[in-house]
Amino acid sequence: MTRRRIEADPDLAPAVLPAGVLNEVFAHAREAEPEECCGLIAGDDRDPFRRVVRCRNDMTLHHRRDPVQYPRDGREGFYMNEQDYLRAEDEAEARGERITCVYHSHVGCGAWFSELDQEYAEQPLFPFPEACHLVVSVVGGKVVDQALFVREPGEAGTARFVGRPVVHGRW
Amino acid sequence: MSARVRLPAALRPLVGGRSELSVAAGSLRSVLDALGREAPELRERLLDETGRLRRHVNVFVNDEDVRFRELLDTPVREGDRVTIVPAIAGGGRG
Repeated sequence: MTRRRIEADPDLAPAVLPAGVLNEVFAHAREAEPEECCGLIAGDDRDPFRRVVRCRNDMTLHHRRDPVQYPRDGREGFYMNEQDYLRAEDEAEARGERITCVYHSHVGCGAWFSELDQEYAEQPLFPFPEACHLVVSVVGGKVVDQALFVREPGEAGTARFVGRPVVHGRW
Repeated sequence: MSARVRLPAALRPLVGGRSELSVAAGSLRSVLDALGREAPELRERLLDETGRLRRHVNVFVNDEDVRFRELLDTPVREGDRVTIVPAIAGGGRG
């Protein structure tokens, strides 16, 4: 399947995320630079973006072990530590929450939904198919852009991701 | 005794909604073969056409990542817990 990166559509109304949650994700992204960060956001119907759960990015680990299957390291990709995300999922369930968003950063490039981002998010076993995807762009220690990608119904029963700009909401 | 295999939510419909299956111990390869006999599509979802684990899928045997052990030849002993975990990954430049 041929994919092209998806950019946030500036003509769409921005997604408003709670300031505390967004700032926590930004802090994670800055701290992880020069590597990409990754994590999850848990919540419920009333408060879908309630809690940020940081996860480890194992991409460099996998790249060193098997550079053929994992040709990029953590500076150009993320691979969420499975134990971290399973624990986050269990904790969310125990709190009556669910995973509502998967986030990661891009370092030195835009807050788009890349071909690789789409490849994993669209694979049939993806564990959080209903979750949205928050991508933040970090350049030189600063978060310079952010976008939220949501799966929306497309033509003929297909699904596609649509990107929106993201702005800070209330704390 | 046998080994227990925990399936991710997306695979459970293939085995009647069960989240866990018991299969004979042996190697990870024999465990996946046993799953394939239970539901052929399940094996196809986990292994590619060359018989390798798909890169979107990872397997843990008792919390040990089989990529850091012997992949499909990783021993699975009686009482072991095999967990199949889909990958969450991506990256900015591609």
